[in-house]
Amino acid sequence: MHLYKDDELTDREKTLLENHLSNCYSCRTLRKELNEYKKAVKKITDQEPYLSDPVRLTDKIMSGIKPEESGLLQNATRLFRLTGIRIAASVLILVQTGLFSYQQFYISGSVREINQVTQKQNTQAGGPGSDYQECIEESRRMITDILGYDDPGFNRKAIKYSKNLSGAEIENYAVQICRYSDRLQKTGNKQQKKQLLINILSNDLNIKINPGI
Amino acid sequence: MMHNRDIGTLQPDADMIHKCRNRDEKAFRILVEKFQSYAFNLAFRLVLNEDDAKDIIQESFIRIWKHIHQYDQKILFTTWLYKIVINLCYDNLKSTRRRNHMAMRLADNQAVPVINDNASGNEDNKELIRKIRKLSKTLTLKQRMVFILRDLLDLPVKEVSGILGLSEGSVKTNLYLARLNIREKILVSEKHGGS
Repeated sequence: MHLYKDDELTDREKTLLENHLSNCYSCRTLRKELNEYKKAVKKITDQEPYLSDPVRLTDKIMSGIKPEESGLLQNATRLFRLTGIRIAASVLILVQTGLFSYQQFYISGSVREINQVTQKQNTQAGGPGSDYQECIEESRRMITDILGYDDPGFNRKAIKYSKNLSGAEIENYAVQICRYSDRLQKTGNKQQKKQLLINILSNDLNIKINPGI
Repeated sequence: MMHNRDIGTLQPDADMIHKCRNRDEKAFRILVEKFQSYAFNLAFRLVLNEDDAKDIIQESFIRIWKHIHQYDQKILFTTWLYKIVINLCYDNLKSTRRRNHMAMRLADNQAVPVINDNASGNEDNKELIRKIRKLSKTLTLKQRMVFILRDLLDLPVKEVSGILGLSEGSVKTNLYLARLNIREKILVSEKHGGS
């Protein structure tokens, strides 16, 4: 029967259906229902949904397809920008690394140089030995013994706190203190040695010792 | 009224498709102007909301622009277009139903979104929404899609089958059930003296 609604019956099928309907009450009822259905549907199909401002919708669609291209451009720009940033960062890192290496080279070179000079001077003066570590140890021992601070790291701390220096510079000062060991050893009593060391630190090396540290 | 039965004669020719594939925006604009009202007609009747239908149309054509190189010219352009629109409508209905689930207290298989009678929009459209809703509110989503494509848009069963990806037998079964459901609703309405 639903083919009847669809107008999909052949002429012969239509004749057969009409003959059947004249003798069948239930099928006539069904046809009536189908006609009501057709009317109800027609009420809807006769009324088109109203599309307000179709030109605006078209414009929106057309602007919606643009981001694809501009998106590519944006991506490309972003890529270049990111690449630029990466290159700049890489250059900066390289420069910094270079500077750092140079500084390290320079400082270690200076320390080596001082060490060599100190070694030479110590050797000439009959000092505590030619080894750099020994020189540092001697410097620490002198400060600890003479100034009475029972702290192996005192000279480092003292110099660091008073001058806010880096590790390499502290080593440098320690080496220089070491150079005065001969003079300190020849000085009389402990009090005189202490005064001499403070004078050496503050006057000769310009290191202000804070005894309270 | 736009007759979807005549839409076969309105299909874009191979030259227009070729131009669109070569990113010719002017050609694509002509395509949009020609088919947006058909697409709106379908989307509006499914989602029953003018703004949502417009958003769906916009998204549909953007997808067409992006994937036009995948379009198989052996099938009607409108079949492809309607397929995309239907898929987006389906997503919209699902999310709307999920959003309003508690408030709507929908039956498990109810497919018609709640209509906000105070919503802004064209008065004729509101009236149309009420009519469609009255007829199809207890249909399943599949029955509703078949009903709209076959009986409201007047598309042949074969094309409905192609758009929904269902067999022609399945389309006819769902159509039969939809019509039966609507006829019962009309009968009940007549008994209660409704229009």
